[in-house]
Order: sequence, then C-alpha cells, then structure tokens
Amino acid sequence: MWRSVRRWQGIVLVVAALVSTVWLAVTNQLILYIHPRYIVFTVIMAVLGLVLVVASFVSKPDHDHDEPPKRWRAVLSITATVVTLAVAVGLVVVPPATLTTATANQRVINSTGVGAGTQNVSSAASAPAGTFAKFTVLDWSSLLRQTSDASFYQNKAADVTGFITSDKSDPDNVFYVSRFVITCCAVDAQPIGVPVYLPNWRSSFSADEWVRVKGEFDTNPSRTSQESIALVPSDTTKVDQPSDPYLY
Amino acid sequence: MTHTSTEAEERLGRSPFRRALAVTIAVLVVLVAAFAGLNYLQGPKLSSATIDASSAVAKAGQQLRLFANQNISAVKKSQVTITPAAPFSVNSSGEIIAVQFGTRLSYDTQYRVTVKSVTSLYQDRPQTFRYSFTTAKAQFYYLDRADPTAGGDQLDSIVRTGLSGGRGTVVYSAPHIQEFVVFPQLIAVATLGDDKTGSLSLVSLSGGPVEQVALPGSGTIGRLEASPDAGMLGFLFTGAGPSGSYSSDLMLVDLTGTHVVQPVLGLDSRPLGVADWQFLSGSTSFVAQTFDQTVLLIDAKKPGSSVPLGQYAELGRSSPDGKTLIVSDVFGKIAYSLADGKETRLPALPIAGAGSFGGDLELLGSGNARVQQVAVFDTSGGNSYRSYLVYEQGTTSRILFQTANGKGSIDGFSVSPNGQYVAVNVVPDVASSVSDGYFVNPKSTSITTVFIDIATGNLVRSVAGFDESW
Amino acid sequence: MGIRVAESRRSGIRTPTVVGLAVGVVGIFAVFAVRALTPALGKWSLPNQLQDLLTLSISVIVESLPFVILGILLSIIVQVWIPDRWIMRILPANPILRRGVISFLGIFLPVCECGNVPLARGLIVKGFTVSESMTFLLAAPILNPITIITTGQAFGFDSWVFVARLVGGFVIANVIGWLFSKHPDQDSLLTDRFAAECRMPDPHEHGETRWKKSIELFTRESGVIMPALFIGSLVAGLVQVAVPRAVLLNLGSNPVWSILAMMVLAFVISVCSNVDSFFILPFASTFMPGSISVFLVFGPIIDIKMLTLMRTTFTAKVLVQLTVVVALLSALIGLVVNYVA
Repeated sequence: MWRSVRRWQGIVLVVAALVSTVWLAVTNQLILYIHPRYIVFTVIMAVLGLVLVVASFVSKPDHDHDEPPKRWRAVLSITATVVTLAVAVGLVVVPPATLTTATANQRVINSTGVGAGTQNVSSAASAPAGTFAKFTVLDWSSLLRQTSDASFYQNKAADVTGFITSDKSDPDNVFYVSRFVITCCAVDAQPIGVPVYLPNWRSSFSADEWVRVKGEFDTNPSRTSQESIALVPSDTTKVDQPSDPYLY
Repeated sequence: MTHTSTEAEERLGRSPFRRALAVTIAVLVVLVAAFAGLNYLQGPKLSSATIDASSAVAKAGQQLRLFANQNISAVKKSQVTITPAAPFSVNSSGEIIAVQFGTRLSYDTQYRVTVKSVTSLYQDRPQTFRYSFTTAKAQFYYLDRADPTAGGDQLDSIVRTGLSGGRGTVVYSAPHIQEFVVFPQLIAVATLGDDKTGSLSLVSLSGGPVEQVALPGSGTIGRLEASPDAGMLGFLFTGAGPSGSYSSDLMLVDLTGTHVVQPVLGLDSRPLGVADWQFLSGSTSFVAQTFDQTVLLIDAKKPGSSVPLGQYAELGRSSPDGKTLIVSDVFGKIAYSLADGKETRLPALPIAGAGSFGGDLELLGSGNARVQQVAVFDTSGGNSYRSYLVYEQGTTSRILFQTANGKGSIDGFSVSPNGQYVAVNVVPDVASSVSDGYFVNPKSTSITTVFIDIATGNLVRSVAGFDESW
Repeated sequence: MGIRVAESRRSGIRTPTVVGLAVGVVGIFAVFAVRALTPALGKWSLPNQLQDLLTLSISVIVESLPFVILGILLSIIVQVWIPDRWIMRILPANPILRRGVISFLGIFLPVCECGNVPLARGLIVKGFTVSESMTFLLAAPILNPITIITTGQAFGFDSWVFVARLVGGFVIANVIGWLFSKHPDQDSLLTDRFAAECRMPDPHEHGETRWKKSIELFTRESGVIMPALFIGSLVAGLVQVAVPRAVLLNLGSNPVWSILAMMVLAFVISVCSNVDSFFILPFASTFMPGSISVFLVFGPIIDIKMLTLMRTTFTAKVLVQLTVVVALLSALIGLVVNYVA
C-alpha cells in the first residue's frame, strides 16, 4: 500500500512536470522559466520522460519491499506528499507568469554587472541614429552604467518597453522601465532598468504595468533621485506584456 | 556514567572514521582560521586597470581606472603621483580608483601612476598600487599629390603614417584629390573632376566599398570640415554654371544617420552662404562667418539655434576644448570665450626685438599658450617679410620654425590633438615654386610638411605632402 | 514475501496492463487538457510574493527536470544494460587510486548534480562502496565536460576561478571519499529504505526482461527523486523570496566575509553546476575571485535542492558531517585563492 502511494506520487509528479513542460514549450512560454538555449534539451528529455511514463503504465507494479513507516514518519511523509501535490497543482493549474516587482525590488535593480558589456560607449557614439530606436532597456542600462555624461545621450532617441518599478529615492516622479535578464533560468533573473522622469506618474500608471516609453535621455530633473541621467519621455503608453518578457 | 563515557571513548577513540573526521575538521578549522587571518592582514591589491591609450592622447578628461581586489577607503589626490607629471584629479568609490587626466597626454610615453597608502574599508593595512601604461603613438594622414610633370595618369594618395618614420600606408588613391577629413572608421574625400566640379566620397578604412555622397547638384566643394566625435561633416557648396542655385552655401552630412546632404538654413529659411566656418571640437555645434562678417554659433542638431557673436574681420580657429574661439579685428587677434562672450586680446610678441605681425593662431589648451604664425619685416636683405612659427605664452615667445635662408614660406600649420607637436606646411623656395594648378585648393608641387616637438623645438619628421589630419 | 509475489503475479497478468495503460494515457491527456484550458479562465490575481514563489519554484523544477531524467536514464543504463562488473573491472584495486579514477567518471556521464543522485544510487546498487559513490557524486558535477566548458567560457581557461573549481572539486571529492571509506559500517551511512533496496536479490532471478526492469527502475527512482526535487525547489523559491539579495551583495568584496556570503548564496540559489558559471559571472565584478570559486565549488555539492535529493540516499547525520567538511574545504580553497590571486 505504502509502496504504491510512493510509486504513484512519483508518477503523478513526473506527469505534472513533464506535461507542463511540453505544454509550455508548445505554447512558447517555456522562456518564462528558462533561457532559450536549454529549450531543445528540455523538450527532448521531457518527451523521453513521457515515453517512460506511458511504458510504466503497461508494466505491472513491483513487489513491495518496504516496511510500513513509523507513525511520525508517516505524518512527515504525508505532509511532504501534500506539499508536493500542492506544487504540482500549481504547476498544472495556475497560468504561467513572469516575475513581478516583488522580486525586482528584492534583488535590487541594476545591482550586478549583468549585461554590462552589451553596448559600449565608443561604438555607440558613432552608431547610426536608427540603431538607437532598437536599443533595449538592457542596452541603455549598459550605457548608463558606463557614462553619465549628458552630452553623450544628446540626439539619441530612445524607445523602450518594460514594466514599471518605482525608484526608491524619488518614488513619485521617477520610475524604472525594467526588465529581467536571464542567464540560465528565472531563478537567476536580474532586474535591470532605465530611470524615467515622469512627475506624478502614479496618477496614470501603476507599478508592474508594462509601458512603452519614447523620449531622450537628459540630466535627471528630480531633486531627490540618485540617478543622474534619466529618460525624459515625450510619449508613454501602456502596452501588453510582450510574449518574451525577459532579456538575455 | 561510566558506561556512557567508555562508549563515547570507544566511539571517539577507536572508530577510525570518527577519529579521521575529528582530525580533518580540526585541521581544516586551523587552516581556514590561518588563511582568514592572512587575508585579513594582507590589505588590498591592484587587480586590474583600464585606460584607452589612444583617447588619452586625443582628448582631455580621460580616465585611468584602477580596480582593487576589494572595496577600499577613499583615496585623496595627495596619495597619487604620476610621472611624467600631468594634471589630474582623483575619485574613488567601491573598489575603483579613477584618475582623470586634466590634459591630453603625450604620444608614445610611459606614464607611471603610484597610489600610496591604499587601505581596505575593513582593515588598516596600507598598500601601494603601481601601474604604468604607454600611450598610443602619434598617427596622422596626409595628402600626397602626384607630380603633374611626371606623367598624365598618376593618382593622388592619402597616406597614413606616424612620427617615427617609415613610408606609411596608402589608404586611398584617386585622381585629383582636393582635400579630405578623417573619421574613426572612414575618410571623406573631396575630388575634382576634369570638368572642374567636385565630388564627395566616403572611403571605409577597413576596406569596405567607397560610397559616393549625392551632392545637391553639379558644383564645387570647399572648406571640408569634420566633427569625428559627433559623426558629422560639412562643406561649402557652390553650384556650377549659370543655373547654379548655391553660392558658397554651408552643407552638412550626418554620418550617424542617412548620408544625405542638408543645407544649413539661415534665419530667412534660405541656405546660409558663409565665407568661412568650422566645427567646435567634439560637438555638433559650429561657428560660421557670413559674408557680412557676422560670426554665428549654430548647433547643427537644433534648427533655428543660430546665435550671432558679433562682427569680426576674420574667423580663426577654436581651442581644443571648443570653448574659446579666435577671431580678429583690425587691431589683431582676440580670444573670444563662448561661455561668457569675454574678449581677450592676444598681441603678437616681438621677435628678437623686432615687431611682428600676427597671422594664423592656435590655442594649445584652455589657457593662452599658443602657436602662431608671424611675419617680421626683414631689414637686412631687401624689403621682404620673413615667416616664423612661434610658441607664445604670457609675454615670452620662442621660435619653433623658420624657413631656410628666408626663401621659403609657411603655407599653414596644425597642432596635434594633444598639443605636443605642430605640423608646418612649408614651400621651401617660393621663387622656384610651381603650382599644381588644381581648380580648388591649388598647392605648390614642392610643398613639404615638417613635424616639430613644441616643447623642445626639435624637428621630428618631414613628409612630402600636406593637408595633414591627426 | 513469497505469498505476496505470487499474488501480485497472479493479479497482474493481462487485464490490469490494458486498464493501466488506458487510465494512464487518459490521465496524461486529462492533465494536458487542464493545463491547456485553465489560462482561458483568466489571470489569477495572486499576491506578487506568492506568484513569484510559484514562478521561481517552477523555474527550478523545469530547469532541473531534464537533468534528472537524464540522470535516471544513465542510472538505468548503468544498472541494467551495462554488463555486471564491467565498470568494476577497469577500476584500479588500490582504494585511493580507485577513487581518483572514479572522480573522473563524470567525463563519460555528463550530468549535473541533480541527475547525479539517481546515478550514484545506481552505482551503489551496482557494487560501488558508499564512499566511492560519494566521490563520484561530489566530483562528477564539476569534473564533467559541460561544466568544464561553461566555466572556461565564462571565466577564461587560464583564470584562477577555473583552476580553483576543477582542482577544488577533485580534492573535496577525494577527501570526502577517503574520510567515509574509514567508516566501518558503510551500509549505516545509507537511509534504511535505500539500504534495503541495495540488499534486494538480483531481479534477474524473477526472469524479468531488461526492458521491464528499466521501466520499473524509472518508476522507482522518480518516486524517490521527484518529491525531493519538488520540495527542494519550493524551499529554494521560498528562501529567494524571503532573503533580500542586497544583504548578500553588501558583504561584497571583503576578502573573508564574501566567502561566507557566496557559500550562503550557493546554498540558497540551487542552480545546476552545468549552468551556474553563467549565473555567477555578473557577480564577478563585485566579488573577489576566491569567493566566486567558493560559489562554484560549494554550490554543486551542497545546496538546498541537493540536500533534499541526497536525503533520499544518505542519513541526516552523514549529510551534516558532509556539509561541515565540504564547507570548510571550500572556504579554505576560497581563502587561498583570495590570498594568492
């Protein structure tokens, strides 16, 4: 009896995890959890796993070698089983989502060198104007890390999309257009962002909303913000979350 | 009691596993403690450093960034020494010490930077950081025109070379090159056709295709100028023939965007005709002198931003930082501060007691130290003027260059971006000089450019050509 | 025992197989259908923290799952398909040399640490001593081609970090192997359940086919590993939501504290050794090389997910001893690198 609970728990968890993985891959949402470079490997392994699961249905149960567990162990085991099943249900039922501002704040925006070398100042200085419109939040934050010289940003129009995270030093007038950068999976997601100066932004937007901001960088007009350069928007619009919310 | 203690003894003493585990843990704890102590006592170390050796000679305000292996306490200017001496400021944050140079550094020179008493944020173990780097060698381009007497179909060449000699590399050859300007990745070349009209080509320095820039029509190009940092070039365009709709009008090309020639519009929304013009160092702003002698300051990226600075007889060169402009009136040269409009007269200093007439002038830094071409009336040998190139600072002047026997003439000069060398275009013997007869920008076939170290006055190199571009 | 075998044989001849297959396949499709239909019901407005906990935990599961499956597959191959004593024969007899060679087995079995647990279990069943399987378990995640290449790509093949990681992994695995080989009763290191499994008579006696045995192994291993993976991922997610990253980063570049900070970070993060170089690379500018080495040496051996996975095989006491020794050794490696580099 105990044996088959174990056995079926394993199979249920494998099925939940594999089916979710395959479904995420089919609907192109696996990138919400892992870096695209691992997708092929993950899908191959998931399909192999499913084949083995189906095969295990054909096979008859093994003999029961286990002694029934002691009472307190049984309690512990049942608790663990309930917890894992709860995670499995979450895995199967809750719609997939990106990380939110809770994690962005907890991990401190722009706190690591992630993507620091994405763009460099000297090559960006002579790049054709058209390329700046294609720069992502990651490109700009990489440049902002390298230089706070306002003249460098002159005549370089930015057009970036990301979700709103409020700035700690001036939460009313400055927010970050932020994205998570993933090097392996969502666990290592690092928040990066570009400061935007929009006085009283909370009147029309709220944190976690996805926005597209157009404008130019200039010396940050905010008195309290610690960012010396900020994007001064000419146009800010709400947009839907893109299908590939993370940057790599 | 007795029972448990023997059991414990047995477990500790007899089981080889227990003993090995205890010994291993004990040894490891001692080693970890020892190395933690060593680390604690070691103090910070210099782990890496960055500096752009070519920007450091071209622009002031470049940074040497020294990375310590751990966070360090603030570094003061007094802790830092640099040899050979150069003005600098120091900033430190976290593990980085940023040494910012106040001036452009000398070419091909080893700088040694020493930071004394660097301490970690966590413990007081002073260490000395030493770092040395060698700046980039001087490199320039010049135009070597073919000798018209040597045969019909020879090509003019643009040559890249350095100060240490060698023949240099020909980066572009074409018939009848009028002038050229250099960008980091390309050169823009104005050439003259057989019909005396000009054309403008963009030549990639990495061997890409040559791009022809479409001109507003058929006509001539003049005063080709570049702002390499801003990725812009400009020239004066005059339409050819009776239908020519442009007359010495200023045209700009933004190389960071579409390479389309755009006329600069005056306040009347018509193309602006100018007598002379130039970019201010490293920016999209430029100064231009219209035909009524008004000098205008205009930002190419802001239409309608033209600011009149006043009327002057002549528009001169701008300072390396782009903040001061040389203009002249009937009384001589004036340094005009673009920040506050303040004018400072720069009288030509007497040479060996004889009064001199000041010609073209270039400021070397933010002060008034300058290189100037001057003429002195020659009382000894007939009624003629002798040209000199002099270095002037305060009230002293020093001759950098004069032509041999006074037979030659100085055609022009330019100072290297770091103010270390001056290039002088010389026609050695005016009497026997033959012009190459180009329709625009004609030069003597014997023109030579000599390079002089401003600090010592030593001649370091000479090349058979002109239009040097650093 | 004998009676039960007879019972299960009698009842499992034909009908349950078909029924099982049908129920199973229908079940899989049902899960698929649920998964595909629920997003249509609209977005759940979970609190941000809970949503992120779920996202992070699922991310760890999805990231580890292929490696776990690969590990189980390799374990099946080693246990069922490779002839008995085939591996044993090529290994030297001297125990120290033997463990040295075992440290490099990962080169042929490139799995990261989570896949290594089922594989190490398989090796014990196959005849490895517990200490030898430990050596394999600790060395293989680091001394395998994928990890070597990713670490080299991230930090450079001539960097201190690269050398410290490979040498460190080898040293730790062999010290641990040597230490636990001194234990007189190897079986007592294992959980009762796993020890019992190892004492199981060879299933070939029952006349089962290799295929059947493979599938049986798959079910059994996933029954053991999957709950541990789920719990480990959940705890890893919980800790990440609860502990602000800034606390660790602030310890940044103190040569002594940063070692500790990196060990805590490695413990909490629980990413696989094949990919952790890319994870830690952005921190390389903030942390000292020794601290980065500690992360890369300690992380693959001891972290939240790994401890729950190893608990399926080893007793809690063994895990505590293992953690203490590995932590001290990693700290020593980090301190030495910080001192020298």
